[in-house]
Amino acid sequence: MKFEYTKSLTRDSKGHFVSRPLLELELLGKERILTVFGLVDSGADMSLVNARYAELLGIVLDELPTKDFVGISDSRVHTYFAEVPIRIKYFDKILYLPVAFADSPNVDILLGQEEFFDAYRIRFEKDHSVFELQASRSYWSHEL
Amino acid sequence: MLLFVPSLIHCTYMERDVVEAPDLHRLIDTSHEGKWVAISSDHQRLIAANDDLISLEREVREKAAIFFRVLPSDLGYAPRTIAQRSV
Repeated sequence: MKFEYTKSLTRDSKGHFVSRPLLELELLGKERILTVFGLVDSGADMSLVNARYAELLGIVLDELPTKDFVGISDSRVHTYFAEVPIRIKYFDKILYLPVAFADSPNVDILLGQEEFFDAYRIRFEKDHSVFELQASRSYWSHEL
Repeated sequence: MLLFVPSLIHCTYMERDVVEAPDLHRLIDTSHEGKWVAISSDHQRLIAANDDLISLEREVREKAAIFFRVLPSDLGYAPRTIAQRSV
């Protein structure tokens, strides 16, 4: 399945709107299902989710293991680890995704390498303004 | 004539299988930066915006609404190679 890149509000150095690979997905919580957008981020080691989503999903952050993450600015971001079931729109299967909930105003949802890039084969075709997502046969055959 | 067949198949494949991106510029602008917003499931309407996600979720009645945070547009996003430090 191919998806168009989504134009953000940010402009690049030439004044054009920056396009990003966004996917629509569901976060499957105990209390409710939330539909959100996730940015496919091959540069992130694992998936990051804004901590405010945890409350809506019925996840108590204080009970979770924690780690600090350091970005390019070297400022530390405190995160809480959890496994969150997600379902990508147009795909049937549920992926149990390890995520770090980050209490940061500059994070929404990033879909990083761990598990997500194992479960889906992702091909970026920025020159055509599309990216492709395919369920990995090897990953999902282990899941059966 | 046969030479045209592969390109016809490709066009059909492209039209059918490429998911159109939401046109966020129709729905949000810089006044929404730093806010949480909810849009309709067909991407055609901005339902509501709020500084707080929990308040927004209570305000929005549509179960299939899509929620997201509008990040500052004047900041470039740098995908990071994250160093983890155990606490």
